This record gives sequence, C-alpha cells and structure tokens, in this order.
Amino acid sequence: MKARQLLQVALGILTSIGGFLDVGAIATAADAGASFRFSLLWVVLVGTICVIFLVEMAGRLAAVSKHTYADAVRERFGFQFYIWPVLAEFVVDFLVLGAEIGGVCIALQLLTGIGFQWWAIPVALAVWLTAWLGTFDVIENSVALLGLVTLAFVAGAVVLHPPWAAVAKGFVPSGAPQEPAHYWFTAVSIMGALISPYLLYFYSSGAIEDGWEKKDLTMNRLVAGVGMGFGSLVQMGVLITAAMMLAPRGIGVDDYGQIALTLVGPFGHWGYYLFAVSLGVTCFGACMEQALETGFVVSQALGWNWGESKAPVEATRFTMAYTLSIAASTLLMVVGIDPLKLTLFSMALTAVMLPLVVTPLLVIMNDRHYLGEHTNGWLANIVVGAIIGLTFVLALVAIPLEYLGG
Amino acid sequence: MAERPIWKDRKSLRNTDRQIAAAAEPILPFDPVARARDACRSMSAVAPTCFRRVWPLAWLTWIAACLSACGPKPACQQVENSGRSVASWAATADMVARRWIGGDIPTSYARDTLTQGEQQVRQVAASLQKAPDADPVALARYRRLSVVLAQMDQAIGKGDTSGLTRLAGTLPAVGRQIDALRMRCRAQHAKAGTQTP
Repeated sequence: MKARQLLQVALGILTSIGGFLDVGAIATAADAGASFRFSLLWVVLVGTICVIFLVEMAGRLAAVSKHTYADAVRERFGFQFYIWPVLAEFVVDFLVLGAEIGGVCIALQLLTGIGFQWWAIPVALAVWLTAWLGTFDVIENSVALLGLVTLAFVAGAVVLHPPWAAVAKGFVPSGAPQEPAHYWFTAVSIMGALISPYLLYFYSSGAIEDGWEKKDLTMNRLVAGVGMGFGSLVQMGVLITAAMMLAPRGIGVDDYGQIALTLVGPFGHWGYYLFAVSLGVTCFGACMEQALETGFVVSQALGWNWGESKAPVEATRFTMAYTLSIAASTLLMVVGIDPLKLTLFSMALTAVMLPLVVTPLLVIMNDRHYLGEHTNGWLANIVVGAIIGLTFVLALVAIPLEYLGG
Repeated sequence: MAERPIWKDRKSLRNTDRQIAAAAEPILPFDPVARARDACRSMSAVAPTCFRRVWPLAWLTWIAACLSACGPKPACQQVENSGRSVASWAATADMVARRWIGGDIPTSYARDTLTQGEQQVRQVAASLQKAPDADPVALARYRRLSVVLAQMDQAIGKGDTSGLTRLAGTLPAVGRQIDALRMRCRAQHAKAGTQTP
C-alpha cells in the first residue's frame, strides 16, 4: 500500500471513529448503562458487527458497480418498489434530523444557559450554510476529526475503574435483569441507532463522489472494519460511564442534562464541558450527514443532478431537497418537542424500518450483474439477515410493550 | 391555384392532429392515491403469497397494540411506572447539589436541571391525581419532592450553600420512600396477575 493510500485509510478510520457517535448513540447507550448497567453491551457488539458488514457492502457496491445504493435499488427493483424504502427513510430522516438538531441545541444550552428552543433556528442556519458552502470531503473530514473529542467517554470509562469482569460478562447475551419491556426497547433502540439506514445511502454516495474503484476495496474493508469497530468503543464508553456514574445512584435518563453528569464524575469541571462539546460536535456532524443524505436519496430517486462537491447552482434541486429537509425538521425543535423522547422514539422506529431498507441491499449484493465476482459470501448474508430479522421482530414486540408500561 | 392544395394539406394536417389527440390517452393530473395503490400492487407482486395475505392484518394489529398502550392506566400501575423516574429525579437533584457545591457544574445548568426535575415530578403527581383510585400517600410524597426541588433551585439562586446541603440531605429518604411505594405496587400487581385465571 502506498503512502498516499495509507494516509487515506488512516483518515478514513479516524473519521469513522470521530463520526461514529450521534445523538441516538449517546442517548441509547446512556439509557442502557443507567438502567441495566453493563448487561446491554452485547447489543452494541452485535449491532457493530452488523453495521461493519453493511457499510462494507455499501462501499463495495459503489466501488465495483459505480452505483450508489439508491441508484441500484431503483434500477434493480423499479421506481414503484423503490418508493417504499424511500418513504420509510423519509419518515425516519425527518425525525432523526430533528433529534440531531435538538442535540446541538441541548449542547448549546449546556454551554450558554440559554434554552434549547432558542437555538433551533440558528443551528439550522449553521447546518444549511455549511452544506451550502462546504464540499463533501471538507464536511466529512473536519467534523468527524473534531468528533475525536468523544474519545473522552473512553477515557472516562477507564478513569472510573469499572469492574472489568462485569463488563466482560455484559458482552454475553442475557435476558432482562428487570423491567423486560424497557430492556428490549432499549436494545432495539441501540440497534436502530447503530444500524442507521442513512449511513448506507451517505457512505455509497460519498464513495461515488470520491470516485472509488475496485482498487479501493481494501481501503473500504479497513475503514468499515477498523473504523466502525473502534467507533463502537466510544459508544461502549458512554454506556460504561453511565453504568458507573448514574446506575449506582438510581439516576435514570429522562433528560439530556442527566447524561452530562456521566463525565463530571471522572473529569470534574472539565467533564461537563467535554460532554457539551462532544454532544454538540457529533450532533452537528450527524445533522450535516442526515440533511445531505435526504438530498442524495431524493435526487437519486427522481434522477436529479446531485453532488455535495458541486456548486449549489449546478445541483439546484438537490440543494432544495436538503434545504427543505433541514427546515422541516427544525420545526420539531421550534415547537418544543422533548429532544430525548424524540431521539429514543426515532431510534426504535428506525429498527422497525430496517428490513425495508436493508433487504434490497442484500438482494443486490448477491446479484452478479452488479457485483461480478465481488458478490456477498454466505457469512455476510447470514449475519446481516439474522440480525436485521431479529431486530425487526424485537422492535415489533418491544415498542407497544414499552408504551404499555408507560 | 397553387396555394389551394397547400391550404387543403394544412387543414387535413390539423384534422389528423385532432384525431391523434382524441385517440391518445388523456393526460391525467398527478393522483397520489392511485400512485400509492400501484406501488402497493407492485410490492404485493414481489412478496410471497402467504406474506401478502397476512401483512396488512399484522400491521393493523401492531398499530392497534401501540395505540391501546397509550390509554389510561390504574393508579397503582402509574406509581409503579413513574416511581422510577421520580426517584431518579430525587437522586439527580442530590448529585447536582453536591457537584454544584463542589464547583463542578455551572449555576445555570444546576438550576435548569432542578427546574426540569420539579416540572416532571409535578406532572407525574398531576396525572396520578386524575386516576380514580389515586394513592394519597404517593401523591403527598411526590408533591413534597417537587416542593424540595423548587426550594433547592431557589437556594442555588441565592447562593445559599448551607440551605442547599440541608435540603439535599432530605432527598435520599424521599427516594427510599418512593422506591418502597413502587415495590408495594409491584407486589400488588404481581399478586393480581397470579390471581387472574
């Protein structure tokens, strides 16, 4: 591997780590740690394995077939089928983008003391302006590199000296220690946060914009495997700090403010600001990805000119799509919907929608017309199929039970 | 004389255009319902027969289950469900007070968190009060906690460290009382469950 390629791989891995967390990952992991200590760590592990396979597939599809995921689904199944995953993605995107904007607003509230609702419109404008002015690489790399501040959660977990035997036991799948409905709802929400369908659309669109070819397949495998693998360590760090700081005191996660206390324990005064900056930076990065992904999906569905590296005047309808998406999701925060409740609900809903978005990918990844000799192996098919199927069934059962339990 | 055939041709051309236009399918306005129906049909064509028969019913059942889950619940179940959140706010207020006194968190955050906690506990108490079989003991403890949280907020506003320490000292006992109530309700719930055939 040449020096330039090594640099690309390193940057890809770093951005995957820095960009791994978002509002959903923070909220669901903190809730899991506060409510069930380490016993949901296995869900993070299973979800990470699944997301590694899926991201690798999306990159391989783009590099080999020169199709984005959206293009391939539309071409392979026809527009009338494609409208379903797109509609599902639309609903989820609308809610998740609202939650991400809410995350940035909460971070600014923590830093300034000014209520989060007041920040909704300035944050939306900042997201829109960055998308308008920035290119794909600048946006992806700069925000994700800033996101390395989230490694504070990993450091915090180590500083708190957790009982490592109990942590290791958490990686073994187990039943609910108490409150089974909430346990499985949280498990499903973690899966929804980890396996975000937007990642597939965004990653494959980015690969096309960067002009990936077959020779980039090794880099794709490394970035997906190592980057996502290490990225999930950050999420595990959130879960462990919450398990150490909140669970023993009987503090649950009913508000983002309570999650801020997780880093105050290990780092004191600095921990508070580290949490606020981590939340703000990761959610801002996720806002950008989410908004652009909506633009990608709409433009690719309707055959419009698209590309973040293009000037807005060259891709006007793509620009309009992400502009409207930011404006619509901002309204959720302006009207004062609780950002945490919105996050947890949208993550669980994502889990319900997963089969609709992931099944077409599995079909395409086994189609020699698109992938030639690079089609999926049996292991990838079985692992992804089983995890997605199980998550879907759990989501169907856990969501009504959770709301039945209040 | 030379103009005539051309005129005739143009006229016949216009007539032909009209005939073609009349024969062609009329251009319909965009009909989202028809589009959705077509999409449903194409989706059904892809799905296996057994799945095609079952899935609308399965989705309707799931949505009905979600909606029924949002209905009103008996007071004891409310105490069992909301008690954890209320006890959590008591513990949060305790930690916030200690950390604020230690200078680890800013005043604005401490006050916001206490206000949020006070509002949440008050909401829980209000919804509990609406239940016909509301437990007066639980209601009194929730109200007491919301008053303590409001007083703690005021103490931070005044910079009254000793007052805050005194108020925070009462929180663990409140938390224990609420936990005891929850456990009692859980036991009642379990007993009712075992008695139901």
